[in-house]
Amino acid sequence: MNLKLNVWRQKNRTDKGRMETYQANNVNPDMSFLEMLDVVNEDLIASGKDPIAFEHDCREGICGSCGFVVNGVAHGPEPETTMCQLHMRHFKDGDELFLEPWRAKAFPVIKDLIVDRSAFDRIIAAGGYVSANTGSAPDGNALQIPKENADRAMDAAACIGCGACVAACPNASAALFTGAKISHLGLLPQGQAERSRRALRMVAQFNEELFGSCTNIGECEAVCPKGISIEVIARMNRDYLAAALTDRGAKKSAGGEA
Amino acid sequence: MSSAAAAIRSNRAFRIFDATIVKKAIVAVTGLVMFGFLVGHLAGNLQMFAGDEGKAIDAYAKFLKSVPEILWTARVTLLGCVFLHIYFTIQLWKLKGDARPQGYVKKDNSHSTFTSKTMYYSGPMLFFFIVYHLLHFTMGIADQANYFEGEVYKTVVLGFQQPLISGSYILAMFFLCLHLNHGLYSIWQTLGLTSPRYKPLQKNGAAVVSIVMFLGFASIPAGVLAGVIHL
Repeated sequence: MNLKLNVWRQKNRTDKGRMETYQANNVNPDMSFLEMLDVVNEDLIASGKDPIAFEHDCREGICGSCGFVVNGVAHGPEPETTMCQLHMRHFKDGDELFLEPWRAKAFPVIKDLIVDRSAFDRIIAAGGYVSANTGSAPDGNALQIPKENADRAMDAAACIGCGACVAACPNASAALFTGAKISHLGLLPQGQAERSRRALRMVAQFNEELFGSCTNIGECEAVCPKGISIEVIARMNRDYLAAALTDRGAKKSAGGEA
Repeated sequence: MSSAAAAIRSNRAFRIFDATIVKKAIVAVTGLVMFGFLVGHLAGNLQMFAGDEGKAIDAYAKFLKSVPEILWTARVTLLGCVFLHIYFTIQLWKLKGDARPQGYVKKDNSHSTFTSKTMYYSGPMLFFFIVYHLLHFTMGIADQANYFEGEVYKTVVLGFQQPLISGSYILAMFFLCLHLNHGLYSIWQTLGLTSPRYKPLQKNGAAVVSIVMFLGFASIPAGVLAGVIHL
């Protein structure tokens, strides 16, 4: 099949950037989207041009590296699929595709389709951890966890931090990402120690990074390659509001940091 | 004082005044208060259909104004809610632009409902309607010739016998319906008071209630136009 690609090209962080048009000919329908771009890039390199830069790593849909917007949809038209797992058979001969990087103030474009997602790392660093004893592994089943909680924590933990939720959100909010991380840890007994502080700090960081505010419309869950539901956002809101009103702060908590 | 403690201190102030979740929660709570008022307002208004040439509703209006302390507490509370609801919404709306200074060439928003996408339109329309409504029926400025102090029934009937006025009221109630359709569901999600078990009820309930509110409020100008409510 033959495709027409309109791709966002931007040399570096300071370049203004523009859409450029390429022709992808003789595309094998069994290729993944990234493999199709690899072939387009081979041609670009052969003709002495700069290849289209896109992020990728595992190409198995589990690392969260790849991702860009195809015809207005983050990770393209297939539900619960990352770009690397999206195959060209889902497109038709003669399709015209628009490829754009995630658009958010907090995700500055580094080059072409690659954005800097370190804002997510800073949100994690703000509170996405648990206190854990190091040393020998705990006994199996020493800590009882209801099956339902384990399942829900696992569902939230499926988040690979790809950033599609931010890209799809009309408000460029990172609520689904932050909510997933807060829910993942907050549903487990190991996550209770920092639960209220975690909500306060991660949300504060998410606001500091200038992500937008959630308006409960669900564009994020529709594009999430891991099918995470906006239920995690409700949980984040609940944890945050409760923590904002009840957290005693570091100074007053018994035995806490001074 | 360690830097961690300093960070938490600054966060303590930050989280009350600047956290988007708190702002959105205030929008949700004030919205719920205003909705509560609307339910009472509708129940009172439906006395227009009593068929007693306004005896019931005129007496009800007199009763509402009989204790100025309560009347003014309610008015100030509602005005406060309107102000906070709009003030924080404007802040969050500005953030939307700041958070994505460069938009997409192509963007698919097909998973958002029509009513959620039009909140920024239905809201301002309701604001203008409320200003007009207060000028019209509360203060008697908009349609002075047909305003009779203390005679609610007569004022409403004479007002709504003008198709332009009743038409714009019905249109405004349509915007109310749109706004409530997303808003009434959104309140629970914003406050975190939802679960997969109750979400369908909250979503469908919002849709049903918003339509009931529309039909209820719109029935009065429609009833006057149809001659069911008459002097």
